[in-house]
Amino acid sequence: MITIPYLTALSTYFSYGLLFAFGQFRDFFRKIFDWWQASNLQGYAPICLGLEDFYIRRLYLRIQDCFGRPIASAPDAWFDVVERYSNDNNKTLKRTEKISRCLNLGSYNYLGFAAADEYCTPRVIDSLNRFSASTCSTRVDGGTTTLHKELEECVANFVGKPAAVVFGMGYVTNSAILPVIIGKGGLIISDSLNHNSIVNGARGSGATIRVFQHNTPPHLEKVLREHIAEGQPRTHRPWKKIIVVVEGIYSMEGEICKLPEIVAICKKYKAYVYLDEAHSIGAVGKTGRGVCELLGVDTADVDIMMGTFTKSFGSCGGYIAGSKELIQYLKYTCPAHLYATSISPPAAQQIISSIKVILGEDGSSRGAQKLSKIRENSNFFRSELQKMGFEVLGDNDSPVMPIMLYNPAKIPAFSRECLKQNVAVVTVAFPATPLLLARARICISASHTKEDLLKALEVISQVGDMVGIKYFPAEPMKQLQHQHQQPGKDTIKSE
Amino acid sequence: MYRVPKIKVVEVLTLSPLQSFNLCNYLAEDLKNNKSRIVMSDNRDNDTLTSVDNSIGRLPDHLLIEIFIRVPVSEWAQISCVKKHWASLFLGESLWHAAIMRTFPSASQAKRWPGPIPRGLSKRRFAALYVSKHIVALDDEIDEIVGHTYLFLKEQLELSTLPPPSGILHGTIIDQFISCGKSREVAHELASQIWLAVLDNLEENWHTFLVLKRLALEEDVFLPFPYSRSIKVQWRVFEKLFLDFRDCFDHADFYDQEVCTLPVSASVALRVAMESVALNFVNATLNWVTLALDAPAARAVVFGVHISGHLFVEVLLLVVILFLLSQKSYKPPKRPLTKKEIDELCDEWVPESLIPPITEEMQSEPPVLESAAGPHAIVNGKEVVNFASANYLGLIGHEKLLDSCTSALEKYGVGSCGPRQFYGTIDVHLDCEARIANFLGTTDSILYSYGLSTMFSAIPCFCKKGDIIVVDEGVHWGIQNGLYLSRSTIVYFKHNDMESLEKTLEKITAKNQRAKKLRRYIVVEAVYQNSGQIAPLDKIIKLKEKYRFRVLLDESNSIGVLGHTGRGLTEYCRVPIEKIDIVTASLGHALATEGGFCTGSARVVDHQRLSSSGYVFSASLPPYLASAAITAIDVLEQNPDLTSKLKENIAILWKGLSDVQGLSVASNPESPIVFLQLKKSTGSTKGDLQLLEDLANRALEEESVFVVVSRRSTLDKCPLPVGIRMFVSAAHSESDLLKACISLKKVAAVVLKDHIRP
Repeated sequence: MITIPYLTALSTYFSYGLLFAFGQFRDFFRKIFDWWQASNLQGYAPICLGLEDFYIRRLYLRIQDCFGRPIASAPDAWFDVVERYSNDNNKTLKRTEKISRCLNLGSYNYLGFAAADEYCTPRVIDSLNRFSASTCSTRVDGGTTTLHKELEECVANFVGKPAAVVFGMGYVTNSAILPVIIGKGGLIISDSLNHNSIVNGARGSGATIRVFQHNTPPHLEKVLREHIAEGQPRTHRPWKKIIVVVEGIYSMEGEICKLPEIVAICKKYKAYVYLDEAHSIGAVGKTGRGVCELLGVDTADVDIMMGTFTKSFGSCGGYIAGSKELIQYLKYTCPAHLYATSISPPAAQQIISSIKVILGEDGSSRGAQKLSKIRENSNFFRSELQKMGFEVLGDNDSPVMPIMLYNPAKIPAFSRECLKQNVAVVTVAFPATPLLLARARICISASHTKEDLLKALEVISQVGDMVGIKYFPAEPMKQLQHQHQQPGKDTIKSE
Repeated sequence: MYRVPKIKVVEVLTLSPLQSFNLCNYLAEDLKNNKSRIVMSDNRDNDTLTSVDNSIGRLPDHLLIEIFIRVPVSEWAQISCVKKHWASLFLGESLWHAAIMRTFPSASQAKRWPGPIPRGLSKRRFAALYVSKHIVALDDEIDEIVGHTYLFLKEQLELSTLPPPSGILHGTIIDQFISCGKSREVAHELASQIWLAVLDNLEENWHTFLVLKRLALEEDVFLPFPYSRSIKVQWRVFEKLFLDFRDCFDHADFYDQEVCTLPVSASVALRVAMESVALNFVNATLNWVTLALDAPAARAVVFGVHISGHLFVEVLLLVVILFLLSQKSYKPPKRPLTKKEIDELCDEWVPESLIPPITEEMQSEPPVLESAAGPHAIVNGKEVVNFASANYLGLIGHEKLLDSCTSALEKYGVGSCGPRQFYGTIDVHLDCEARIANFLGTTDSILYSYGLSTMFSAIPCFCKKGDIIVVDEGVHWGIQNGLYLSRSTIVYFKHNDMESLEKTLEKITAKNQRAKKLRRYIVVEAVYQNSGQIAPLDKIIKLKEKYRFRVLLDESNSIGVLGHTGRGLTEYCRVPIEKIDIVTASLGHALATEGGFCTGSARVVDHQRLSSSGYVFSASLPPYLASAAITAIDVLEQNPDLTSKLKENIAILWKGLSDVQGLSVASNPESPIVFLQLKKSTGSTKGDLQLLEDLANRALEEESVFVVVSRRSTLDKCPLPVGIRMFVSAAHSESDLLKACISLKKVAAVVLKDHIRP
């Protein structure tokens, strides 16, 4: 739980209030000017709704330059950010030819497979030449190649489940699978901070949806007991089935799921567990097999394992792993399998190759090095940030670390100042987070060197002082304690 | 002067009964006529007196009695004054007895007389009977008891200086009736009548006033419960007091009486409501209340406030209301489940298995390709002609595409590692968006990372709860899901049927007055993936403009195919693209890459960049695929003969397949999807599917022609029939197409042999 300092909350509310008031003021004048011009709707209702539009016009556009910055290279540790300019107060941004080389703290390039890789890239290009870029067909028609077969076996083996099925997009994986396995009369209990794709999938399923407090197993138990006892709403029939949906690592919080407790509760109450490992697969665990490996949960206890290839594997698509029967059933009826173009063969090859690297099947120890590197990097960076007095969310070992900003003005300030010093960070605000809890998010990669991290820390510390987001006092005493507690950091120093 | 004949007593004594009867009648008549004389001549006229004396003076007693009872009762008192002897006759028993016998022949002579009220002698009985008949007006049967009770009550009230309380009197009356065999109900009714009769017949004197006042002051005790009619009687008491004896009141008295009246009026209201006995009585009561309350003397002043009568009623009602409000309403007690009960429920609950049991049909595995999915592919080590890939322009394996992909892979890597907002925007994405917009002639476009997600993200972006979407029933699942997620009101029209569409639009616009204020859309596919039909866009545009709907068009299977230069359905139907509000398409068909895009006005595109969930919350399209899309459009623009080649190929296949046994071509002659349908369905989708799949499998195995069946997910709501779908490509040679036609005919003849015959 994030506790906001009282004064910060007040000033944040004040800032938003001011923005809102000015926005309304400007809208008022706009209405007057619009009044002169004849309405061009001609009997149509406006295509965008007022308040949504208001947020974009009056709040988002002011800081539009902090989002969607185009890059002109692979999203590796360093990348080329294309500079943009605006002639109309940020309403439209124009690309220039100029680029600036920045340190990338924003991409989900956890294992550093985003850039061309000595092992993967040649194989990817080989398969491109063999299978072309697309099959132009769905998996059940002519879209299954030997590569797809190999990929599914490879993923099942990597994840630790009997079978797997892959899709061309992670978002579709979630939103098309949930309606297949649960429908009316079922109950989906979802973590309150689950990703939008899960929310959409749950909505599309027609099942009843309940949430439990973010990562709080006791509350999950309470919700489960309550709903099993109560049955379906109005009819009070028993539920057909209950699926508990959690994520391995929450991308906006950087927290690692309390999986052992949740699995124990689900077992006790006979609920199925759906684990979304979008951010954790490949990134955590001794051999990169995700939160199950990290927390010592038997994968047999997780009924449905979902994950994406966009992050650690540097490709695209998603997978579902589970029992043979589950996968067979999904292949028979899942719309994403039946109607969507199969995953692009080069992307499939990228996944196969990167998994081979992670498992050391390429004949080198690069995979193991990458895994230990990302762990060390993450823990080092997190502890350093905490020592500086930033309010950092998330657990140890997680490569995602949000820094709380709160005030709306600090969002662009932090982002722009960092960029000026060639550090690219991601800032997140409403609607992706609650209004009060704006934050910057840093994603650490195995491809970051120690120098990169030190530079990043220096810049962030400096900008943090300038923007005023070091909400906790820096504690030199703490530093000593941390040195003893965290061997990971010591190895960094000794390097 | 009238003379009475002299009759000797002896003669009279010897008369026959008939004669004596006549004589008596005659004498009675005489007596009646001379009555005034008798009375008046008391002292002055000895002559008259003597004459009467002479005529009937010496008659024996029984004859006298016979005579007297023939005279009206009202004159008896006067008769009794004439002679001492006559007066004693009136005091005696026999005259009254005879009178009863004559006047009330039906009166009972029973000796037994139960009950507390004495029956008394004949005189009293006569009086009682008389009262029954005349005052209480019991016409049909003369009931002695009624008269007796009347007399009793009247005596009690009139004679005694301090009459017993009404309750006791009343009780006595009721007891009397009951002991004489009346039912309780009748007894109450009679008692009430008697009370009213007695009250009406009381003399107007001071004593009566005091008695009435006393009765009025009895309030609740007056004719106590359960006697239900006491109110009526009580009101008669008040009535008499306030009307007949008004002058006897002094101020204090009047006030006392009024206070007594009030509770009665309240209880009147309540009881009447409960009993619904007599509405008219209520009216009378109300009249009375008004009359009584508005009496000028009823005004009192408390602390300077005039307390008029209705104020009392109002205060009283207020008190009643407050009392009722203060009562707690009944709520059944809540008993939450105990911990133990919940434990038991949780133990008892058995979930369904995660998936239904696997049946045989679920186990079919698709053919695995060992090469690229070009016009010729390798399946199971054998080269087959591929009609399963929507590689319409034959761009799979195109060198330029491969080159552009290779360089992109080397430069950008495979994945973009982030959503568009967070450094997932790579310059090729922006180039690709600009290229697509430029190609189609729109201002801007937006790239999605997957074809399927394009529609189901774009639709909820523009349609919310309450908006109206009119949609073709044959649209593919991606659109169906988008419609479901939008939570809008969805109305289907018949597949590709413009009359049905017009009717639907008409109905919606006419029926719904609010429709003008809602966002309204028509959603259609350019080439329907589920049937191969082409939407008549020009007609749709006319309807859209007539009814003011916006159009969402899915061009997944028409971009690069329809129109001279492959710009899709708008070019094919010669409709300017600005007329279409939102165009979506998948890049995974003709353009031989992956992903999807949405295009339209700048506003439509910009709105999606923050509101479309599939765009905002998903990693962006791998850059090499975007670069492939750019190259594919370049290739298409540089080779306009690709579309004409495709058109020719479609025509060849269409012609070749027009006479396959048991199958009919159901698609549009220009659609790149050639859709073969069973001429005669087996009756179930499952059976059809089985048959067609058998056909497709044989075609692949025996004839090396790779065709596929349109499979449906259990989530798909499309009602159209299933069939064999053949994706024609510009890269197919004429011999490929002819081979396919011959093979399909051969296989169909075998497989559908049993199906066609019976």
